[in-house]
Amino acid sequence: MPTAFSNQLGWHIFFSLKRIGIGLGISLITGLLLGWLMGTFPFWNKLLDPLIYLTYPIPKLALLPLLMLFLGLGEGSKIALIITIILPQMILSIRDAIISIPETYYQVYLCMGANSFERFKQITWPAIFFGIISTLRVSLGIAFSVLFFAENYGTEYGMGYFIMDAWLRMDYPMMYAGILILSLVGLILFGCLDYLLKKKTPEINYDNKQAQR
Amino acid sequence: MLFMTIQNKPILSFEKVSVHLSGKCVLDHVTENFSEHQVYTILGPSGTGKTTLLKVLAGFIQPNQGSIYWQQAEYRPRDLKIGYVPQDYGLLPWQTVRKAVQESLTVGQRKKRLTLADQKKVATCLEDVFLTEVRDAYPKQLSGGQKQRVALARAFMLESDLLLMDEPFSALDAFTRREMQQLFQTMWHKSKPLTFFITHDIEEALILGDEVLVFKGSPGQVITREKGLRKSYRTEEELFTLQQSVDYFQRVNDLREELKGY
Ligand SMILES: Nc1ncnc2c1ncn2[C@@H]1O[C@H](COP(=O)(O)OP(=O)(O)OP(=O)(O)O)[C@@H](O)[C@H]1O
Ligand SMILES: [Mg+2]
Repeated sequence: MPTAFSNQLGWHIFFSLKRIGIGLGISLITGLLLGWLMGTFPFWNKLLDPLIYLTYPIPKLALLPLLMLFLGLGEGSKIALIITIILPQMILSIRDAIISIPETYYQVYLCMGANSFERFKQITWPAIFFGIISTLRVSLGIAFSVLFFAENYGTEYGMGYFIMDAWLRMDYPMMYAGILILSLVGLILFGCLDYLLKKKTPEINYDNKQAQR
Repeated sequence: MLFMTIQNKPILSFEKVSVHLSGKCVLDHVTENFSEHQVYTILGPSGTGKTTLLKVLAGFIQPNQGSIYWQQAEYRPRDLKIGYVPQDYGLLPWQTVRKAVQESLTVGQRKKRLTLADQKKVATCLEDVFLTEVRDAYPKQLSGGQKQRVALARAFMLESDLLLMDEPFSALDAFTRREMQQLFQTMWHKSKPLTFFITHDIEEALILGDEVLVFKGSPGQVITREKGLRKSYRTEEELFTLQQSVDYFQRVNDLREELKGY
């Protein structure tokens, strides 16, 4: 049995990761831009935050037919579905991370004569890095579960399709094998995020926290 | 007291500067002159606008009325290099001690890359403030006094035109504070920036200041300026003798009286 799907499995994983990767990438860039605007300029916050609060509770799956109508049954609507689901929480977490940066950090640098790029590089970015990884983690988890809807139509590749297909064929060992493999892929990705976080935030002591709590 | 300001040509002047915050008048018609290479210590009861004055100088608050001049031209804080030491030190949690001090060169003095001479300068500076051993530590791993020394080193490394310090030593115990005062004196002499130093400690104001400004009232105003003792002693022994004198006691007591009633 393992040989039966091993040659195809690589492609299933590849397509799923590609969709998740593009979806997360676009969301992260948009989230950073909008979150930064909203966290930095009260005008943008006042303008955009009612909009986000208003659209956040809409069940995004209900939008799927619309996305299919406008973007077709191909990759476009699949990636768009992932984005509409994870983008709002990304914007909000990045905005909140920016808002909570102490003012004095910036004041010292302003007085030194730092320009806005230097202030972003030395203060804003390192200050929100933890929040970014954290929101990426949440988004990654959600994106995985969205796959089952996104890869349910118009494709024959993707872990979502693989599992669903096995299910429909009542090939339960294959279905659970698919789920297990998906979990393993998730484990590796989450592990990578954690590794990146630890590597980039050496000032945080991750191992010695419980003692005081 | 008066002849001092005449003797040195003012580099910074306030003319009828008033500041309103949320509709409340915080500083009222402040008109003062300040000279180059001087340390001005600021005393005054809580809420009299001392921090506000510093924020105006740092450019975080615009005065509602009046004007400020720097070398006879309009005061533009963003064109100056200003060392700012807030009460909480403002150290970035993700910067090591050495990085924080280096930033004054890379960001403050626009140096793309640190030359060997620059690196030596940073090393010497860290040596001066006794931080060589903890140069790779993060703020969380430092004691209060060490954090304060990082903030000092960072500010002096900048070789700024203006140095603004808001109660920098108030969180330290008396012994560490005295050490920091000494350190401040030695570091200050290397670049002699015009300094404004807020403190709640009368003796600190007298010992460190060329002049002591006393703030009072709400809205706040400078009610007196008097000569400080910064130049009256050289060594710790001389300072000690000075502090035993009747004159010194008298001045501390007078200032204490002055600060008492609103
Ligand atoms: N952002 C603000 N909005 C409104 N009022 C403010 C603001 N900041 C300060 N104030 C008011 O301005 C007055 C002066 O404040 P400031 O912080 O300058 O006092 P201070 O002399 O530094 O006092 P302290 O010795 O306690 O630090 C206070 O009455 C304070 O309530
Ligand atoms: Mg204050």
